[in-house]
Amino acid sequence: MLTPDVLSVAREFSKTPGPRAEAEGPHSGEKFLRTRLLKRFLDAQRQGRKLLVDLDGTEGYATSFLEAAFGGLARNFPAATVLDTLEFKSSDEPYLVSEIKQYIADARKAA
Amino acid sequence: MSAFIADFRRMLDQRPIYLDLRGVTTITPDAIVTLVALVKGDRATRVRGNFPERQESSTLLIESGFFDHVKTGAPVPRSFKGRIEKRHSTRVEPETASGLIRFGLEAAGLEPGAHQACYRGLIECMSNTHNHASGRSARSPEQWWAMVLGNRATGRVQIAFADTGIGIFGSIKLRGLKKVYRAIGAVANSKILHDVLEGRVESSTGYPYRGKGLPMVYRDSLNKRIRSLYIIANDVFADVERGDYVTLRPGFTGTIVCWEV
Repeated sequence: MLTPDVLSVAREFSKTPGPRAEAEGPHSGEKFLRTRLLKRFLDAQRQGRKLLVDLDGTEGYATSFLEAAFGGLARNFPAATVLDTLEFKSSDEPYLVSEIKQYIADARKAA
Repeated sequence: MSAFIADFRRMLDQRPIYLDLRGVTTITPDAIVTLVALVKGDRATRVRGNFPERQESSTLLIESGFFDHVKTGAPVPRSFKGRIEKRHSTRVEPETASGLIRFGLEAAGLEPGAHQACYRGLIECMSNTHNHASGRSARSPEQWWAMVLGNRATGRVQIAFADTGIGIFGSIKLRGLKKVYRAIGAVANSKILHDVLEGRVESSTGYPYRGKGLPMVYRDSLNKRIRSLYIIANDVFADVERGDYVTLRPGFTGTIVCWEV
């Protein structure tokens, strides 16, 4: 089994994740999706690997950041595919994982 | 406090104002941040004033960072316990949120570092102000004020966020029966705020996947990730931890959110 690719938000994007939209402020969820998550998600799919998103090491996350990033991904791809490809590491705030999975499910429902 | 704010706002048209604080026995961060928002708001009315006679209140006012924004006749010592930041609502500022929290943790003698729920609270407040405070017809963005105060004796950090926009109920969009009930006065805003926090009111954007910010702050309170969460919005005062949601008379124009960690 292939080892998962790892995408660290703190190391590869920002230690201070921001709001939902790029127009609202820096380090937004939309920007994370556009500049990091989408490419790595597609790479992982192509290679038949999982993508482990490491959420630790940041100052924290607004719900809108997480929803824009992961819900946004699930508005472009089937929720089942997103959930099948992504794994999450959140030792700092373990409850975030279930929050994100809910956003992915809700995004599909809302789309 | 809402009556004081209403009077103060009315008086901003009559200048100058002398703010007599001598009789103030208790002052809290939410009151301080609201006061500075009023005194240093968009209206350029000159406001002068004095200090509370009660030493604790006077000291708290000085330590809060209030006088980083309001000039005094005599110099006051620089504050190392509190900080107040003022911005226009055009931007959400993650670095400002992070800086405030780290300042507060250090001032309270706590281990410097991240506090995720606190950070989330500030970003959600900034974001709400950006998206809702001015309303759709506003020509200019509102200001927001964020304050942090570290208390070394209690090991607690108090955070207060205020904007002087149209408030939650100025931008909320109810649908279906809730809209009807509210229109005929059958349901109070205090009940609606509780529904907003419980995630039972759809976002004003109309997108079902949005509007999760305040519900998450609420859950952070329920799960004790933050403490002593209070919300004042329009005509509602909510002591969220105690589950008290009451109607304010007169109401307040804007939103104040404060909590402790």
